[in-house]
Amino acid sequence: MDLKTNMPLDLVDQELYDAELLERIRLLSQIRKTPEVLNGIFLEVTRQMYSTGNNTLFGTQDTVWSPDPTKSKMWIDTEFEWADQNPEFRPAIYIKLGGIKYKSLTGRHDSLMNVNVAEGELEFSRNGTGTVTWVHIGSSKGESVALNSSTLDYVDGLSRVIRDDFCFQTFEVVSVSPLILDKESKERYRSHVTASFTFQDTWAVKRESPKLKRIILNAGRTLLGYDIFLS
Amino acid sequence: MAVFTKMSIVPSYTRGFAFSWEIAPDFDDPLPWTFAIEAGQASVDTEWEELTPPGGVTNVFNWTEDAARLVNKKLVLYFRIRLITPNGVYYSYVRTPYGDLDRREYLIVREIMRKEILQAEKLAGVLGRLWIRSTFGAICYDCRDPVTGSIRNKNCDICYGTGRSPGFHGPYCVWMTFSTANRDTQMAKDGTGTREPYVYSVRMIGSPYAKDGDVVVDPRQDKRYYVDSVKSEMEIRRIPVIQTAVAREVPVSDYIHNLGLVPEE
Repeated sequence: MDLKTNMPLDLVDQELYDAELLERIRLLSQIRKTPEVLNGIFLEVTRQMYSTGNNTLFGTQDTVWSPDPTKSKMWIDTEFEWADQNPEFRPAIYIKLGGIKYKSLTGRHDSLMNVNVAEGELEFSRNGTGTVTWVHIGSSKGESVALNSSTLDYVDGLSRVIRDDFCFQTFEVVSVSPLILDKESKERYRSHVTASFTFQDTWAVKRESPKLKRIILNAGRTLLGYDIFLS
Repeated sequence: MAVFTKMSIVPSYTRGFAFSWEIAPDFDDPLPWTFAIEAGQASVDTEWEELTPPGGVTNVFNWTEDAARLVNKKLVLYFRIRLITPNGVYYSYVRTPYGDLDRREYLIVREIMRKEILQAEKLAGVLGRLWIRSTFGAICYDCRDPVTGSIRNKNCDICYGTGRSPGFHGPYCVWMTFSTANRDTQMAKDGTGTREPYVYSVRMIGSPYAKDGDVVVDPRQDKRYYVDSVKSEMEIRRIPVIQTAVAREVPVSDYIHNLGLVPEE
């Protein structure tokens, strides 16, 4: 490589993915953010974070998640998951997705953004706002607080990366709850970290060509002596 | 500083005297702690005879004689406990065998306990194991926060989340009568997983006395239970004779199932 000149280097464009791979893979960030996708995003982020002790506080490095339930030292799942084999697996982190509020970008109620006459397509877009809460349950106060602090560190510190990687418009931690005492087979301690996020949904609808057929609907009422026909 | 904060002697119909003792929570001599129970014929200026096996018993806080004791009618025995740690030797205060009771009350208590054990052994009970949760003893430095001292890992191999080493002492064999069960597995309403709220009441004699956080083991079914609360069904002059513990069955995922197991090499 000649570095003695200021002429731009003649670099060959290298695509990140080849055509075949691009057809087979759909990134999470490219999928419309339904509640199922959002649950998947936050569950995956949390499980990856707790898969190594390097992301947790001093003294809790052994408390790691593993895909093998017999080796996992903690339970990470979305809320309302039935686990017959492992009731009350503690410590545990549950991902709770709050309600999502949608708002039109244009003020129209149907979120319609554009009509593509040439293609016969209707294009829609709107904003969604929601919250996600990480519920940490430990068998001691210290255990719950340590988990809470680890999640807070990770999610707060990497909030911009999470925002960009998963195509959120905003993503930020908004609150940390005080400890709550629960009664299970013995006393447990619960604490929450809550983050809010905003995203933009877009989708398009392409209608089939209208059938060339006359449809007459009879309203069945007579007005001023004439039958009313809608066509 | 008094090292021994409590020493109680209760009758045990099948096995002579049952001794239990507690150590001051701030006593932090290094392990092992070896205890020896000594008997003498006077409270002072006497020759003390060691009742425990030669070498004493290590890291336990309850001990019962192996066989019923036949004592001369006029003889009055005195007991004390000796503790040997790497740092020194400590003695408890001296007590008479009847503790807080006189001889007649002591014999009444012993007879009630005998009948309680009889009904458990012959009809309704199981020979369970009771692990007593440590509230005193050496601090576990493996799982505690170095600044706040809070316990960060309830699945600690050393203390099982009690913060003391050892986390539980025992097990002590006790005849137990379990209540009938209502088994129901259900989802928590707040979405935090599946629960199995199996609750039993477990009736047993008052020695050793159970407390919140102790672990009851039913070896026949290989089940474990956390003691939630304890009620004395009968007391004589504040000496618990019969106790009933509310026990919650421990889910199979709980680390306490490793308690008492010998780790694999």
